[in-house]
Amino acid sequence: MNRLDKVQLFSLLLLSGVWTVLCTAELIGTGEMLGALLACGVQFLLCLPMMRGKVPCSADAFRQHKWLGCVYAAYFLLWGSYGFSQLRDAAPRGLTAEGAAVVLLLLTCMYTSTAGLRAAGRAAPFLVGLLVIAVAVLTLGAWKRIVPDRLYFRTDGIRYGLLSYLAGSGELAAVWVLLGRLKNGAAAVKVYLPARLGLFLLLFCLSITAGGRLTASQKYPFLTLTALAQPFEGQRADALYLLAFVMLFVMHLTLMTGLSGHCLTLLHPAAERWTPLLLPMMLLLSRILPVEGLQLTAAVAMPLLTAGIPLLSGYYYKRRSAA
Amino acid sequence: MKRCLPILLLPLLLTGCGSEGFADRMYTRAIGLHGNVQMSVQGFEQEGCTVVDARSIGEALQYEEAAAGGKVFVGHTELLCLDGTCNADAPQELFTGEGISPGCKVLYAHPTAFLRAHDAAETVHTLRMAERDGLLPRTDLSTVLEEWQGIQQTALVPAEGGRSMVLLKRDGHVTALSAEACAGLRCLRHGNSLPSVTLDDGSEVAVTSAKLRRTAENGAVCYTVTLRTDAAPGQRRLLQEQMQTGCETAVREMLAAGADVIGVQEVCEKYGIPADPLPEVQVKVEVR
Repeated sequence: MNRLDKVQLFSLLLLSGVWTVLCTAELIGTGEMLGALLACGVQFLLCLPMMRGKVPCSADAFRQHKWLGCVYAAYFLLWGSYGFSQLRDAAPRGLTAEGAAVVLLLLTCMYTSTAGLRAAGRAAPFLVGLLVIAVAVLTLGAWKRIVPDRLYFRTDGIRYGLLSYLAGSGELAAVWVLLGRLKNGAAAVKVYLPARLGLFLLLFCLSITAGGRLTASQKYPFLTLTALAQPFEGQRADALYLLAFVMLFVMHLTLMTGLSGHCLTLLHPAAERWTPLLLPMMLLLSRILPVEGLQLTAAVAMPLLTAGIPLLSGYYYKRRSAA
Repeated sequence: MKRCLPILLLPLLLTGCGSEGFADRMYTRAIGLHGNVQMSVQGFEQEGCTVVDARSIGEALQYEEAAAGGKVFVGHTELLCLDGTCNADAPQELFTGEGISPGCKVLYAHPTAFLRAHDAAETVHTLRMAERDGLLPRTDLSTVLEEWQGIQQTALVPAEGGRSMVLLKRDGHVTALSAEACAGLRCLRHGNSLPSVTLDDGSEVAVTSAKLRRTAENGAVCYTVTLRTDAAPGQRRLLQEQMQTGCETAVREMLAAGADVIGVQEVCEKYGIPADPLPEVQVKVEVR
């Protein structure tokens, strides 16, 4: 875990964040872009104490206060469950209709989860490369359909954009856990936040200008955009988009499972052997818990776990040292 | 190395070599939809078409698979024939559910009769050449679905023959457009090419660029078309008059049919003008 370097940390956070961006359920108006920009500023403020080293190491805090580890483990479990709900709802029909495809996907997630975050961290930069290629192909495919007139500023959706972008950034709670003893981890977070925002804005602009009413009327507009953005006449790009979709999901689940397992291992070393069970637990929770409940819980908990608890821990340690 | 061996061998099982071959699949070139729902399908290198009657698109494709003796893949479909009698959700389902290409051409024609008598490849080629040469405005499945989702729920669709166009409402009502209106619509829609224009005196004028600007003034939507050409002043004047008449005719026929195929609703939303009923549309053609 603490052998992740800043490129791997950036890649892991970005892949998990882009998964949630891709599963954006609806577009309200261009004001959402301003809302997302404001949300990015809020995210930066939430991560600032950690980036400046003003909070104690998460591993030490978890060892001192076992309940903290439980809280973070439960959060990552919930956020992973929400990922399963998003997959069930947003996945292309060809993926979830085939039983063998679903089984293979689960087996892949199981394997990557048990391989650990270090292995995932090594693979993550390559998958970011695949993501960049997929986005480039998407942009190329959507380019000829762009109608610039459609992009104009409206005040509709600023608040919705702010709240939904913040609520969708559950992976930020991982920053305190991942930074740990990582050197120069702050640089990775500083690049990750604008990169995530940039990708969201790009997909948003393409959906509005190239997709028009087609994407605006569909649930999961960014996924509808991939159906529209076919750059070549004789060769469809669906396989590339599907590959990117699956890889994002696998890395997102791997990160959440790995983090949850790591938090539990800090509570008790013997808990490591139970890490493979976390994935079926996430799948079960996604079935029995309502999606809106999962989303709301994660949205409310994210600022607390990203900044609230680390700052309180820092304050607590300062008072103890002073005493 | 021993532990990696199974992982390295696993991709061999995932190559798809064991699944059905190319010859065992039917790749549709054209699909026709009539009623609720009769599906006519013409495959690549197939003359005529197979026709099935079903209650839904999914069921129709299953019956087609049974008739074809193999899986049916619609992802490379190039032509969709509609006659206005089918449920308007059917093309949407083909796009979002079955993965039909958004660039698939849509044609107004009786599906079964047309596909039995014509080669879809030739028809698609004719339509594409007409669009490339600026004879017809560009349309495809994505433009039809998008226009059907507007307030007026009317789409611009080429008609059988590939030289004329109709306004096809979501409820199946059809209005034919005149040749002059079709000529005008080329300039009033985004994404069209206009390499040259044949004037009324028979001469041809090359157009180096065509730009469209959409604004709103005093509650009316204004379309300004700017054409650049190296033609002589006399020809420029003729071009301006001809295109102005064509655009005005297009707008008049479109509004008379209660349709919006030039994005009036988008302009209204941008400038905060009510889009229902459609406001006045002014057109100005400039030739430089």
